[in-house]
Amino acid sequence: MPASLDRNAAPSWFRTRGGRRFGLEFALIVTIKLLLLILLWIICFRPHPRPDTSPAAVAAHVLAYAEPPHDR
Amino acid sequence: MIDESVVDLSRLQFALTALYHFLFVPLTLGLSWLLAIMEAVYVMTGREVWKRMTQFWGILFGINFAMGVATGVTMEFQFGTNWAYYAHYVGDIFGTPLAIEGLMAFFLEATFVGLFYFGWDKLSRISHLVVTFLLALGTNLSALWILIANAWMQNPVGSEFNFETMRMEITDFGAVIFNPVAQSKFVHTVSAGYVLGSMFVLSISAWYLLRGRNLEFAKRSMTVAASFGLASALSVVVLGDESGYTVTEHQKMKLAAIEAMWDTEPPPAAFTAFGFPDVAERTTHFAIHIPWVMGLIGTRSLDGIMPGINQLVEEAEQRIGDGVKAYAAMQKLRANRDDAAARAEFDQYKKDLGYALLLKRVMADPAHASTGEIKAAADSTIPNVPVLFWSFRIMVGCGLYFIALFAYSFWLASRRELDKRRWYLKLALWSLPLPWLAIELGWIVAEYGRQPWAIEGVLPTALGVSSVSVAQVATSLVGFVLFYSALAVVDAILMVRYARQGPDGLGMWPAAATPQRASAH
Repeated sequence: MPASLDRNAAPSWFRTRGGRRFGLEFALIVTIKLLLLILLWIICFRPHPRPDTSPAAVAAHVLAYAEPPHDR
Repeated sequence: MIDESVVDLSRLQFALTALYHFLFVPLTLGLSWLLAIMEAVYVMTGREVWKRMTQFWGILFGINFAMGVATGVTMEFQFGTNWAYYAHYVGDIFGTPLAIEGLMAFFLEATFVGLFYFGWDKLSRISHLVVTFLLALGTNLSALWILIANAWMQNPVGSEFNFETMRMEITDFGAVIFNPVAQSKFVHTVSAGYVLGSMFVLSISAWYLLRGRNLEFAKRSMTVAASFGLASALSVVVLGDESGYTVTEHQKMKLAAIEAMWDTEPPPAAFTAFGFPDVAERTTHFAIHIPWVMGLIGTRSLDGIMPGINQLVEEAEQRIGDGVKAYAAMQKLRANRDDAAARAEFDQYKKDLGYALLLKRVMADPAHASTGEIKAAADSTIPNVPVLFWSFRIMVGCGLYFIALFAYSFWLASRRELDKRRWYLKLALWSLPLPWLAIELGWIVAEYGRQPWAIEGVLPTALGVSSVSVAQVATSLVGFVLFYSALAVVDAILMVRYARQGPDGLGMWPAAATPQRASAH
């Protein structure tokens, strides 16, 4: 088969009205999902305390696990 | 003490997100290669129907990709929030393949997804085919790096614990990449994805044939799915056997739990085809044994010994005792790093340090563990036997069913009789959920079977959690459930809508190819 662009072939379905709608839905899904993920991060994860994982803090966690004094 | 509620909720959250993410990934893996095969036929034959097939299945691939992409990112959120000590303890090693996956494979995949959809009128046939192959390669490379990371959790090679930094550090990156567990897991997992992709195409095509729509389109799709599905289903079983063999070598307790093998049997061990494991009595009621089979599968020999759960618990007791010595030596070393005696003792027993950390669930200082506490910690190395036993058997049963179904489909396709038996078409249609079921159960066997370890023999799961509150984990868990449930609904609506419309409804394949004209051929 010729490796060049096939000018005589029917246009791709993705260029039709249905194809453009699919493309729009694809882009919308990804965009809305990313926005929701950011929202999820802000609401559910950002308020979490940031764990102190310095060697000393991890030693305190692993060597003598008392009440964790190292989260801030 | 460790807050077990936080541990359980964090585990539940991670399991739910991983199981959810894994609904999308295998379909992407399988469909991508099916698209490449269909387009290759188009390039070779020049027949428009193959191009339209590639584009139609490409739409469903696109929906799955769009819905699935980034659902795995939330697991990485959790490494930072719920599993901070895990991330610190092993992040140097575990994070590397994850970063490579993000930088290399995922970008490759994401780039070629765009070219696949928008390059049809801009690239030559062969260039577009190369794009589709690279798309498939990218998705599979993603799986490779993730499974290298996961395999290190099952078999932590090429690394060593540094008591000064209190973390595992890489000593041999080559060993991490070429971990034998990673190799067997990768081929087994991607093959399972290929089976799912094939079943997806087979089932939806069977629905078209039942409705008398898109006949030529559906029969060609089913032929590709049957061929690729049969090869993949056979691969899953063969490579699953290899995966089981590596488990025998590296995770003896997991294998004993899968088999509900309570005591070491004289070799070659029997395979328990059926039974009801009783954890309290440590026995399996109504067991049906098949002589020799497990020994041959597990050890590839007639005299290889497969230890039972009770013997492995005894071994764990010994290792916990040695781990306590390493733990005590480490405490001395951290107080005085020049203590030569402590260093010698630590070097002698450090391979069992992780076993001492199992005691952290029941006491603050493992260096002072009593015999009873060591015994309790050793007992905690037994995973949930009934769940593993049944998950494995259902998964294997599904795998054998897939071979039979795809073999029969292949036979029908070779005789051009795919549309002649309605019962077969109904069977193919209703088989659609089974690969998902098998894949999720496979994940449960692999990951739940690793418990109580996050990193086998190195870091107990309970010790990896952050110091967060139950309320914090519960809040994020609810957020995940709401978010992912909404995604699942949107995904189902879109998939069903596009599949119902089909190539004819979407104006993708001329009406001439649908019922009246097609049946006249």
